[in-house]
Amino acid sequence: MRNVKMILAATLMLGASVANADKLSDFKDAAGTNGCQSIPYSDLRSSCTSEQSQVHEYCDGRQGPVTCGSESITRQLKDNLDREKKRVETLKEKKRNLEDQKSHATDDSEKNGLAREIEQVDKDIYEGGKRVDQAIADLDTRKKLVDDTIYTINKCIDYRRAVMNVFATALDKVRGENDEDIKPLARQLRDKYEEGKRGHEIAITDKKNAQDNCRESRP
Amino acid sequence: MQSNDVRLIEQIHSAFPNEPIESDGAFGKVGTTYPDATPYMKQIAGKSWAQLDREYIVRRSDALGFLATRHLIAVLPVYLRALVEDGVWSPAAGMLMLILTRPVRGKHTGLGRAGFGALVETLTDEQRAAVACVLRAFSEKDPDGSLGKAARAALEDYWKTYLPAGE
Repeated sequence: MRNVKMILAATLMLGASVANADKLSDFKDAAGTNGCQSIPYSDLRSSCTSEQSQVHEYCDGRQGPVTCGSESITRQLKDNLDREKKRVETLKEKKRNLEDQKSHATDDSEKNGLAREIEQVDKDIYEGGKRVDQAIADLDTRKKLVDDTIYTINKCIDYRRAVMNVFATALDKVRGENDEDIKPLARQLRDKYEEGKRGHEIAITDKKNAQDNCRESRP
Repeated sequence: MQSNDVRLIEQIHSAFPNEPIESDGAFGKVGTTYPDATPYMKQIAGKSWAQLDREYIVRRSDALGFLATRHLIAVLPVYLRALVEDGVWSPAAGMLMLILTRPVRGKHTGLGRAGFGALVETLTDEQRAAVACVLRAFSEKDPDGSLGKAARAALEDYWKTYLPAGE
């Protein structure tokens, strides 16, 4: 019975020692590299890699547009639509005046001349209407781009935050490491994670600014 | 392309040396957690800025917040050139405005005071002038947009000192 206990204790000690050696090896590997691979915990490392692949999907433009350009593009399109609508209104007013003149005209040549003018104005109104339709279509296209971009950037920000949070969790864990062999490596990693926080924050701020820009660009 | 854009690109080429980039240390302590550090380093290793895959580098503008100062300067001309050529549609425009804006004291914005200080101290006068000219041209192209306004603010706050005399 005593022998069995001793064998069991020895097995447990050996198991713990192997686990510790594996953990130390993970920390050594992590300290010598960068990116998600600089995380010594396999579960977090895997989360980081998986979230980062989504960052690429949404921030690189594979899933949709990532920039709205300038807010002034929307203003120009709106101004263009207003301008074209006003032109058509002016033409319609002109047509009404011509029809009024024609109804009061006494001789045939004047009536014929006014009729030709009205015919030309009708053509201009038709062309103006087509330009209004085009301006509306352009504005709709712009609206779609802006809405699609807001959606994509939103996802991009979510995944960037997720990656940053993985490193924040890893930071908490390395701070809690007590093993004497691991401590120096954990300190190295802690410093690196702390220093790297700004980079993640800048990337998120960039996307937030881009999203604000898009919101301002909504027609 | 407008003639001013052509002049700006020539100015960028003249200011930033066309030398091979040593990728070691590109992402030092500050950049360890940049998830694309390894592929980005592979992209820049041994190439001059003019030889870089412009599309890849511009798409990875998030690297600018993680790069060591020396490497940030080595790739900066790629982003400046994209700003000249693509204007507000450059995917890197917003990031460039963030890192080229001097952070407000007491606020943790952009590269931070120390990071921004290191950047501008390491740039040569010719390089600072190139940055100033690009910011000015960009702000003039987008006077009412938020990006153009950000460029003008960065210029007014810091870079305008380096505009060529008489301009």
